[in-house]
Amino acid sequence: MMQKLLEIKDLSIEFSSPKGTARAVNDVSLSIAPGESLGIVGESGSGKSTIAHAVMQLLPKSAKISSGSIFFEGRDLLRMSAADLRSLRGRDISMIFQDPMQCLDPSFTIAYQLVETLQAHEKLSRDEARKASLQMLQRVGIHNAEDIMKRYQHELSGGMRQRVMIAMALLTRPRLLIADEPTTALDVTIQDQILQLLKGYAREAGMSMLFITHSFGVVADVCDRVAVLYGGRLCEYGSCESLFYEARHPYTRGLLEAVPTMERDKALPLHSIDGAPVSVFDPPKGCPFAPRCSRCREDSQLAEKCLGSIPPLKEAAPGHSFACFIER
Amino acid sequence: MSTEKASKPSSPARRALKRFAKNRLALFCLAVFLLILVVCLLAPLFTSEDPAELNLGNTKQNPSLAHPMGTDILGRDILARMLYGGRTTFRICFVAMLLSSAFGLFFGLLSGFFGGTLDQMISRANDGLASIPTFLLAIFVEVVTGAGKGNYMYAIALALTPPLIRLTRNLVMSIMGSEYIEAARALGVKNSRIISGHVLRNIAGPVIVQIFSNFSEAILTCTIMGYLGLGVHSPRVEWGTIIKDGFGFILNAPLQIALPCLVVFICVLTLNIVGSGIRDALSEEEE
Repeated sequence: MMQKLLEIKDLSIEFSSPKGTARAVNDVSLSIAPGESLGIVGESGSGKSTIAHAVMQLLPKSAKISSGSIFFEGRDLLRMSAADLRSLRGRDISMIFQDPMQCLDPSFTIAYQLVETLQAHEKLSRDEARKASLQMLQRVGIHNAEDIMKRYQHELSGGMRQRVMIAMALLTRPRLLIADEPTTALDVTIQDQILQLLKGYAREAGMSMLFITHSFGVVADVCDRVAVLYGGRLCEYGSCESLFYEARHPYTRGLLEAVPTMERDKALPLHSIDGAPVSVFDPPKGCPFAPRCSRCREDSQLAEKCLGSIPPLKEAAPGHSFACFIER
Repeated sequence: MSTEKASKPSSPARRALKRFAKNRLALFCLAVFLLILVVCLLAPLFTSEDPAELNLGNTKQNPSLAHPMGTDILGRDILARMLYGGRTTFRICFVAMLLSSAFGLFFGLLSGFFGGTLDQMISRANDGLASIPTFLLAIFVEVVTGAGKGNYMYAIALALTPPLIRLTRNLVMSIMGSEYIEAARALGVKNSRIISGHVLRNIAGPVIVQIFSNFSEAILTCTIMGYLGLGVHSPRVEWGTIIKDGFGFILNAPLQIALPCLVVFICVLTLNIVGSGIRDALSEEEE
């Protein structure tokens, strides 16, 4: 088997809050091979961002990793010293965020922030760092890079800021890029440009990506494999192809049916999944999706089983697993 | 894109400065205050009188060409005393402001940035500090370190520190959730660098305003301490002691206390107007 770049094993994360303990992530195992892109799909509150922050070790103080481990190139991130983690962050693993409006410091020029990031990891003079930054800005498709370097965040458009943020994340040529819904705040044409940019760079540099999104369209475009998360649990996990054509979990199918296509009959309403997401404070004893599952509603015997115990991950095909009691 | 190219990059600080420059009242007040400050600091250039020289044949004079602010009960030139006294007062206030700013920023940044137990400890200690009466502390300092040397400035510094710690802490906490701080962390920037760069620059506005108002507060407190008899001893003077000297003759020579009070009044008023001018210039940024 090939050496994994990132390996998450049985990860569980809890948040303590005045309302009680919230189990945001439950027994999630994922892995990413070098050069591979993994998409994590799920709705709000499914724990996808929490996983990303856990990999970066940037969870808020109220969060606790209750079990599991995260290995990056065989090194356990959960046992690393703060200093080692800091030098790992930004050099080996970088992250870009959802809202490019907010991630650049309004008080500093773009140049300052790029140079700062680079100098945090490499012994470079200001001039060298500036030069490298300029090249990276051009690499991410900013043509008037010289001018942009002198600008402040509020003087740039949203797409431009996201490009700058991407340039900042890629400056140190990381081996893994975590993208936390990087295109959600952008309009559709810019979204596509940004996705193509990331895809192109990743292929060229052999960089892996952990892509967090709630859009299957984005996953289909960018990722090799995909993990579907519901209620903090893994529902289905496999290559994009097998998952898209042979989805086994009712939740994944529901999501796929909800994706609008050009061919669909416009007279029919868009498919939606009934019910509301599970409460993280009071997780159900069984399959978290069971209360919303149409199959469970039709079959009371099945419902009893699903509501009573958690279905284990089973293999549907090599490299494609799902967590559901329904066989077909 | 074309407009982006045409315009010059503008930093938030530069824009605030531009707005401040449009505020005529604040500019005027700044000029008046600086004038008083410079004249006091360069006292020997503006008066040939010795502030401590007695002239018992020439006491309690009204303002004249020879003595523009009159003379006091011992015949000393009040203008000379105000100028030299201003030096002492400004020195005391400056030290108090500097010390309180250093402590306030240091503990406020620590408390806000790291949060948790450290924050609890600093905040509770700060609450305790804030509950000590300034005058009691000043008397204590004077008694312990020897009276009349102006050491009560440490008490003033201590009195100005708690609000600054609290303000800094709250400001830091409010920007700690910002994505740009998280982004800087995610890209591996060192904590020390994040504090001295991103955090400090983004809380600078309100902190500068607070430090400014601390200075005018220090002038007032300093004057009151001098007036109450905690001030520096002769031959040195400060504004508070001049006002105290004049108080005894408030009925038959009212100008002896009125003019020094007016100077203090003008200082504090102009400083406050400049301070609110800075605040306005900075807060328009948020709109």
